[in-house]
Amino acid sequence: MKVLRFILLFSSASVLFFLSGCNDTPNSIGNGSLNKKVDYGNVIIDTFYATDHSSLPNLIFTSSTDRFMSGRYKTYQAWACLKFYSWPDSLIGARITGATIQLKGLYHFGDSTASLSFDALRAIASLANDSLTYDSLTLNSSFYYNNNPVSIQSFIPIGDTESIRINILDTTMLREWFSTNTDTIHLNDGLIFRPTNSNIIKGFYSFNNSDTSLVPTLYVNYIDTNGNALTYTHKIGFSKYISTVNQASIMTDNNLIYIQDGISYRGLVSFDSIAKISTNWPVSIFRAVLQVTSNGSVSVSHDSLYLLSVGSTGVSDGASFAISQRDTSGGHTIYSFDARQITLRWLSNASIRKAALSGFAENASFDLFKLYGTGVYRPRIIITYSLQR
Amino acid sequence: MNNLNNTILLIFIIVAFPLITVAGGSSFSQYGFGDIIRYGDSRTYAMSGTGIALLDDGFINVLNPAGLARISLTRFSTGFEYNNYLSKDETGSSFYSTGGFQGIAFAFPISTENGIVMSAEFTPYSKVIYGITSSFFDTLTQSAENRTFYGKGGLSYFGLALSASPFKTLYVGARVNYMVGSTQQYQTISFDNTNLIPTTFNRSTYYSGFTLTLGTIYEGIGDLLNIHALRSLSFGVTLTTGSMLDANIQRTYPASSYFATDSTINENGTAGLPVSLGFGISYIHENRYRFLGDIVTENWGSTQYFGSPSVNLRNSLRTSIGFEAVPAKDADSFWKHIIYRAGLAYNSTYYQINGIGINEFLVSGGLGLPMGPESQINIGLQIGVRGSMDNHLQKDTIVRLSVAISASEIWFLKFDEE
Repeated sequence: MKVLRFILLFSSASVLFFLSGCNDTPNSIGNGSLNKKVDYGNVIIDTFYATDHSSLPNLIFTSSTDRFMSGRYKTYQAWACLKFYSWPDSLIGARITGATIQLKGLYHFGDSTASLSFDALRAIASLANDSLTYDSLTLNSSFYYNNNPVSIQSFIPIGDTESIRINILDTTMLREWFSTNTDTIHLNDGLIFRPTNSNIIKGFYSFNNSDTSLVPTLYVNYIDTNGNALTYTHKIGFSKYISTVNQASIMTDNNLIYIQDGISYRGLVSFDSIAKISTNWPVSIFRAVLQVTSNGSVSVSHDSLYLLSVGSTGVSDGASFAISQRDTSGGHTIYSFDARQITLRWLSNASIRKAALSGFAENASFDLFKLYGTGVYRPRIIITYSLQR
Repeated sequence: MNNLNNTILLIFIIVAFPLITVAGGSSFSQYGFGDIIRYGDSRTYAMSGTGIALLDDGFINVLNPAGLARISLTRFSTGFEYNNYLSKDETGSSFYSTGGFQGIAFAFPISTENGIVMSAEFTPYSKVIYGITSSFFDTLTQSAENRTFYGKGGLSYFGLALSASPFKTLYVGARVNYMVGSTQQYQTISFDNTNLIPTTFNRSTYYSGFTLTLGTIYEGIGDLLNIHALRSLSFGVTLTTGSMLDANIQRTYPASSYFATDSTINENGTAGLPVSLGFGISYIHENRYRFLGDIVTENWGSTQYFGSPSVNLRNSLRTSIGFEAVPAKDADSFWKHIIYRAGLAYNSTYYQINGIGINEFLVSGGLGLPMGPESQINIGLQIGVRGSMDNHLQKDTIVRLSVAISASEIWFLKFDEE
């Protein structure tokens, strides 16, 4: 039996010896046996054109941006909403003698030389709901605000970066604001600045800025228990703006795609044409570039667009997005997007082959983009791909 | 004896693990179900897989269920195989190694008088393992394009067989085979142009279905013709039904920045297995020298894959001969108890690539080493060549080594070592 054991051990060692030195890394040997028609799926570059386009209203979240707006320009309107809260305990129930709001400007839309003016309306319901629109605000005005303007004295210089000051003369309202921090009966829902001018919308730094010298500031004048007149500075609050425009006044041509920031409207493009790539998933997508062309020159504060994936209703589903690169060709501005991500979704399992286009500063400007929706400059997607078996 | 058994098992484990983990193989296996495996049994391995007409005790015939009929004791067999490929084409050569489990089989005699034996086995049927790279300049994208093709997996079957001997010289058997397995083939594509995103694509196919193997062995030709010299001659025939296996293809893009989870599309269909018809002959001279011959044909060229003719497949024909010298009954030493085996095989494989049929020629040899009553360790070596370098194809030089145990229930009994 010792002989048998020796033979077994020897053969085992031989196997292990042979195992060493083998090549486990793929190499080109056997390349000639590949069935290129079946395995390869040659790389193809195709251009597919949009099959439909439209512009859809979109709800924007203005409370999260770095600015809020007030003013009126053409048929555009922006109503600012501003609320200071979270008072220090020492001021609760203090004898308030007056207050001044200071807002730092950073943006304008319209005639830069025009003056801004507004009524300050006392809000009597929370304005924090992100879905609050201009229509719901104004149609339910008695629910949201007191239509009688608060007595103020405003100092609004011309210039984007100038600060404006609003003296609040209504001490009754101020004392109600400072009566409690646990406001259960809507004593402090802030103010709405309803524009009364006609040629400019101005933007001011919101509370969403790390530089506290820029954020809205409330200077509170009060008399302490010793009878001393003091001023307290407060920088905690909430701001947003609610805007509207007469759609018919800006969207005048069905052949164009309109993207209106600040309201907002988004462009919606359909690419059912790419279904012809293959009825069989998967398709290897190496590159996909979606291009849209501007109709004429644009004058915007942020000349850039986003491409957004959307669900069946045309609303962004947050799954993917791409930012544009801008080129000029033949006198036209062309916005190009990396659309591989969206194309993969379209080809893999989506029955809705649409994407939305939004402005880069959708909730921070009133930029209007006009893009070709039909004709030779209509939206197209250039896809580099191969089909897999 | 128990110490010896433990040694044998330990060696099996030591050998088996590295064999399983090693990767690599011939690119031919990308087609069909991969390389079709014909282990037969550890005994027939060294005879180039010849044994359709082999009817003997001490051996589980997985080529022909009728060949079980002479088993008198409960038996099992299992083994491991090491494969070495040297693949060569017009651009160079590469050395691959792989290994794996050869299957396991158990057989239980129910009525030795009537040749009724039941067996159960789990045996690999095919193996896919390859990795190929391909690079070229694509004028369309103006970029070098690099593709890598990988494949692995294969089919196996669970078989449940029964043999019987309705007449003294006639043996019949049947085996139900549950075919199951999967192949995974994936491809990566990358470009030197960084604007083009590399992609990975994975296609896994899962198969399952049944086939039936019928077999018979006839030993009465000598009596029938009344020729004494032919009384040691037997003939065997096997027929395995074709089958349309249920097949499910899953095409997957792996999870990436584009998909939080794998994006997978399923497609169900069928994949055809061919009818297999085998003929065998066996002749034993002076109860010591056995000569065997087999022919097996399979109509792969008529099979379909998801409703279309299978790609790059043709009908296969395998012919083989084997020889075995068993010890004399009065052998009194270890060396005299060794069984010697040899064989030759020529296989027109089912691969037909670029219009060229891929043929294989094998020479084999081996030993059966006694390790107790009714038990052996069988070592087999197969050396062969496959394919040609015509039409940009490749030629494989193959070395296969099998180490297997074939033992009966007596092997497990405890004896005092002499």
